Amino acid sequence: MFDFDKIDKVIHEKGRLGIMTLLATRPSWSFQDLKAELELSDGNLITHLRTLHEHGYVAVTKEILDRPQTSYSLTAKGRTSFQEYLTILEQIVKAGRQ
Amino acid sequence: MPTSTEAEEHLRVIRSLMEKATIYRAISAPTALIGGVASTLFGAWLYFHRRPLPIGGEEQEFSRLFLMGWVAVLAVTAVANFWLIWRAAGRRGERFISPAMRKALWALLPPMLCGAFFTVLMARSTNSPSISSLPQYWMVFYGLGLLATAQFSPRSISVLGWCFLFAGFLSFVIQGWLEWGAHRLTAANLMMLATFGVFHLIYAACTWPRKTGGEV
Repeated sequence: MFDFDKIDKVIHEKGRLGIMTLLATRPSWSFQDLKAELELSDGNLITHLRTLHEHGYVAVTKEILDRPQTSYSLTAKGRTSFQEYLTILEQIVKAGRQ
Repeated sequence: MPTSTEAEEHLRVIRSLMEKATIYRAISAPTALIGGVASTLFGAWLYFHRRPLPIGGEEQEFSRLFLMGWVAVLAVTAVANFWLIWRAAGRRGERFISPAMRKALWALLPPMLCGAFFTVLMARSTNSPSISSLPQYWMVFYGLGLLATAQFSPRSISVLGWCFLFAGFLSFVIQGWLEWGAHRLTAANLMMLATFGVFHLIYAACTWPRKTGGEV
């Protein structure tokens, strides 16, 4: 039995949920790709990424390829939290249907 | 505690984002730019420096040059496309032949095979009426190829596909008007320049990634 009140408030926000979802689909995403996919403003995206990074859900990698680039990926903790979050959502939907 | 409706809405957002993330762009803006520039340069060079003369031998040479030149433009663009895809896949930490790429290649295969078949068939004669008809087939099959990837491509690829398809149809409709006697190859060359050159340049300009500001 899940405790629905324990739903992760950090992930349970549309902007951050979008980021977590995209990060779950590929090993890493660049800032530009995330911005283009989510259609968020620079400021909004930075704020959400910083929150996720502070909670240990997102790892930041800065590298210089042909130009400096920052990429983001899910940490093990982030991946587990996202999976737990999905399970709770599914349980809520199931409970609502009963 | 979130309601069931809210949870369903969040799951819908997650599903649609995951689907969006698997979208595959068979032609990137830089590839379109390379293809567009190569087509425009070659088309313009052929137009200004190698006007066909109404003498048998000269025209046959022009036919060969037309065919070899445009096939070379295709080869250069294809190599550039694969290199750009390989580089982008490496940057994202993905395999070069990703499941999305495999799906796109399977979708592209039938129309591209048709294009190759008609090219070989018509090129065997190396006479100008056959060769000058090739751009029409290339436009139609290329358009069909792009549209075959529409299910998992961004909208811009579909738009480009429709443009090529309609340009191909139009070229068949106005075929008689385009055959200016000995200059039919010139008309075919201009068709190539206008479609594979200009269409791709417009596509590149419209889809070029815009620079963004700060990062975390």
